[in-house]
Amino acid sequence: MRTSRRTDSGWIEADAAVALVIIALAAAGAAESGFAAARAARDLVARTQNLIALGNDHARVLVEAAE
Amino acid sequence: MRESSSKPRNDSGATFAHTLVALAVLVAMSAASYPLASSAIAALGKAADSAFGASRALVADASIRALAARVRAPFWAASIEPANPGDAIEAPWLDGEMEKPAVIAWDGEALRIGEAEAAFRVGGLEHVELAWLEDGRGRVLGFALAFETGGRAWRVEAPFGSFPRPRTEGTP
Repeated sequence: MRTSRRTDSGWIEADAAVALVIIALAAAGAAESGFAAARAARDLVARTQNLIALGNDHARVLVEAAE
Repeated sequence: MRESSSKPRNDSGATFAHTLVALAVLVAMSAASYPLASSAIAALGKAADSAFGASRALVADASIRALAARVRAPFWAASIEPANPGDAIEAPWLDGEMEKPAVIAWDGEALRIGEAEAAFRVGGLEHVELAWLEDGRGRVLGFALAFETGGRAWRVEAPFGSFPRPRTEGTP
């Protein structure tokens, strides 16, 4: 804890500002990592859907050729 | 005592006021960042569900296609006669042996894919529908499964490793 003497010199404001900036950066970083994970998951789902759709298309081509 | 009381009153008052301001700013920042943090956490949860669902769908897809590819009827077989015992579908000619069935069964909790005695289990699926992949003439040529996982619907159409000779005009 800061003493009242240092308050007069303005240290609390500077320290508080730095702490707030650090908190804001940490929150923004956490949020960004969450959204990045969501993007990665969407990408994985899209690739999986694409892969399975390709397999199904191949199956239909084989079935049509067998008729 | 008099000297200490004549000290400027700003010293102690300023500290308290600054503490109050800092607390107010912290509360405001917390309130402002809460929706962002909660939406990020929710997005993370949904992302994990989607990713796990996609991985389960991939495992099921690969297993079903690998099993279907092992069903190889000889060219002289008239057809592949499927069986539907309960919540399962069975196709003969697994690994080219007529009496050896490829089995896909759903027991309400897991999808069993493989041979009758040795099946691979895939859990975490819902609304599983087992069907056959058929051509325009109704011949069974593979497995067709529909299921849901990770909040999405998936459909897998897996052809057998070989097809019986198609019937031509005049063939019994």
